[in-house]
Amino acid sequence: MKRVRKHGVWLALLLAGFSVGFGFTSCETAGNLLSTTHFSQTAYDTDKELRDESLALIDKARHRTRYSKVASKVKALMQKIDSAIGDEKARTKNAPTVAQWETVQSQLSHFFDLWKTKGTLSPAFVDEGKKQVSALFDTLIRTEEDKRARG
Amino acid sequence: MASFNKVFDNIKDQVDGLAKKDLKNFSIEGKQDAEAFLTQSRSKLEKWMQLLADKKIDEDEFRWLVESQKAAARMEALRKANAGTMQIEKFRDSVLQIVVKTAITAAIAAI
Repeated sequence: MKRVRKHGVWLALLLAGFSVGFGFTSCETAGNLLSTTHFSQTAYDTDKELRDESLALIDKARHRTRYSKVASKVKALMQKIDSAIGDEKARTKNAPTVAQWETVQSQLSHFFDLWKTKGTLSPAFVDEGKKQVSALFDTLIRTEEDKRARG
Repeated sequence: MASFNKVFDNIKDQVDGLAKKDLKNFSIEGKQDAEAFLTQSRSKLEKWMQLLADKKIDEDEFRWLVESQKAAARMEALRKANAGTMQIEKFRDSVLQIVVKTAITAAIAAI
């Protein structure tokens, strides 16, 4: 019995020593193992919905539609994006996705500002801009898909 | 019972093998992705410069497009950072499993 207890102590020391050797404390280890970012179907669906909504709105600029005609829709979309960022911030260990959303938000915001300032946009620019915004959202969606690996 | 050094060396060998297998693949993949992204950016920039020269887009629009490509690079880097974090966490899971399994085996063998 005394020998078993001795081995238990030895084992505990080994585990503690190894954890310290690998640069994390026991609390951090537990935290890292238990609070990893996980896939969220809700976030995934939101990413796709907001991509489709953004692209549909950008499409309206193609036929030289004036910004004033879509201003309320732009405002509603940007509010939904704000809300999506809030939801992503509430998820544990999700900094890369939050930063991605902020990048999409900034790029979309500049696009709509340009539209607002100029009144209308060049069709060639709208075509290229739509592809670029679509690619940004696709990367965001793929990032969420990557999280499926963690369950 | 096996000495502490022997058990520790055993764990270290297993972890080294795991690191070589799991983390090396990640860096090779990351390098390939970066090269593919640069190639893709080059053709886009050429196209946008031509649109600007043909006056099909103006300078503000050209600038937005260039900024959007920088944003695309940032998005991809963040995606890799996310994947890398997950890979490192998976690696830590595996390390902990090796430590527990090897240490328990050594402890039981000594009883």
